[in-house]
Amino acid sequence: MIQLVNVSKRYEKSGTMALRKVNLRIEDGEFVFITGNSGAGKSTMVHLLTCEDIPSKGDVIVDGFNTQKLSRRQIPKYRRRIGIVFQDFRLIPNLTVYDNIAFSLRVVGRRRREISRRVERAMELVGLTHKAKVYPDQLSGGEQQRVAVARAIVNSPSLIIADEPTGNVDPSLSVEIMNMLLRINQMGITVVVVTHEQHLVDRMNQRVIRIENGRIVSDTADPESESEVIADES
Amino acid sequence: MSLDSLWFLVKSALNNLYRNLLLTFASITVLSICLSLLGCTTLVIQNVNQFVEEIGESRIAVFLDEDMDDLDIVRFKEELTSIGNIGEVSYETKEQALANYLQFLGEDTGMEDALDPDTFRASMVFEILDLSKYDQTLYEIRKLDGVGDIQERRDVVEGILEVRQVLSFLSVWVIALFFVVSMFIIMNSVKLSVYARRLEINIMKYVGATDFFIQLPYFIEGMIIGLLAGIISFFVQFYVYNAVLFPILSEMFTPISFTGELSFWIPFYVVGGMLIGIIGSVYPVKKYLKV
Repeated sequence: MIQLVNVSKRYEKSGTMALRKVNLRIEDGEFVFITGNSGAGKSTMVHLLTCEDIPSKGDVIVDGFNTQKLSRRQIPKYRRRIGIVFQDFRLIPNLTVYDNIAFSLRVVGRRRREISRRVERAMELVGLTHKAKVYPDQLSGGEQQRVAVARAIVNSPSLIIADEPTGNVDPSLSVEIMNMLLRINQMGITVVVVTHEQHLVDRMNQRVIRIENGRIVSDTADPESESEVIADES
Repeated sequence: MSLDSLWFLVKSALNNLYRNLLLTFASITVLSICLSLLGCTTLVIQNVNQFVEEIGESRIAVFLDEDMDDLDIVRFKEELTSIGNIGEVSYETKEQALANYLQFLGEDTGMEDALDPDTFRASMVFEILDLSKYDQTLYEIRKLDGVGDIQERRDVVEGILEVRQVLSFLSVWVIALFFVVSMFIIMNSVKLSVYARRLEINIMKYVGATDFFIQLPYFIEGMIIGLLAGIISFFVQFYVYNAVLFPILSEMFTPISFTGELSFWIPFYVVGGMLIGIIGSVYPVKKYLKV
């Protein structure tokens, strides 16, 4: 479960208030879209969830871990429970598809046999088994993003955070990526997709949380949130 | 850590080195030169020390009272030896002193008949071992019964001590300088390697690799560069010193033996190189671990 309790984030250098008193609860196994315009606070929320940053005020609790209270040594353990998909794929160009996926297991010290088993399964899930020995620059944008998704799920995380996963993908393949994330969600993994592509969100018929100026302005799971915010501002 | 992980790390380090082959080669070469210069400085300092000791003999002669009999002389020698900080003591009789003097004057001087052994005094001749305790040792000797006079070379001793002091001072700074330069070379090499792999480091951080795991290949990389540079500089130094310098220096004094002190020199280069490599690789990676 993800819980944000009165979370505010202020960037000291620029003085920007990226998030303001955000309260949010995402249950295990949910599929949630976080939408909003550029600069709304979506990326800040991702940074807080991945423990790349800590809130200025409030608590971010993921699977019982309060990210603010994690020591430097606990952060890697926390991150092993999360799979992250980036807009720019972040695949290592000189590694094959297989090695890119296996990379996230190798660096956490998994054994070779286990790596092989898990990678095969992840490739199967994203439909890339036949491209195991291919390098990223030989793949299309959509295929590269599928590799990134496979890398995110290979360590059996309880949460997948996808930050603009279709941002660098051909629009015709965006739905395919979303459907793949939906399939992963159906395996019981919580999926949080951050996107500004409203047309995709509308097609998927899932919970949508909309952020504007660092505040949640609407949440389809909680229709009253909008009026709460309006009341708050007044 | 499993064997698979260890192999993954070593492979990563070797890959890093291979990917930046030219830079690796340059780093090893420059570091070898640095280590060789460091070794050269140490050798020069040790040899100068040796040379100074040889030319400036710290030989002391203690002349004995005239009225000492054989038993007194034996007792005196025992007491002298028990003071410590002195080398082997040899007793020089009046007759030996005369013979030595005549030998010093040369042949056919006509002095053989003119000089009598009684003109000379018997003495105990020895060397002070630790020159820094020179005054204290002489003070103890003067307190002994039967000391007539002491012939010493205080000026030489003071000169030796001064040269040694300057050498120690210089050696510390030269070693520190080369250490810093070597470290800078390794840091630069690892920094470029880290920069080239910043994407991998970033992904490693996101998928939950520990900082130690991320840093290890770079430690290994620095260690390999240091180790190779250490081995190369050792052999360069070994052959240059033994084949070129040693024969030249041998004609002037007894130079220190590089071969005889391998147990010091091998670790000096190999362990030294590896240490510089490890220490130099710590800082460059830290910057990219802040994710």
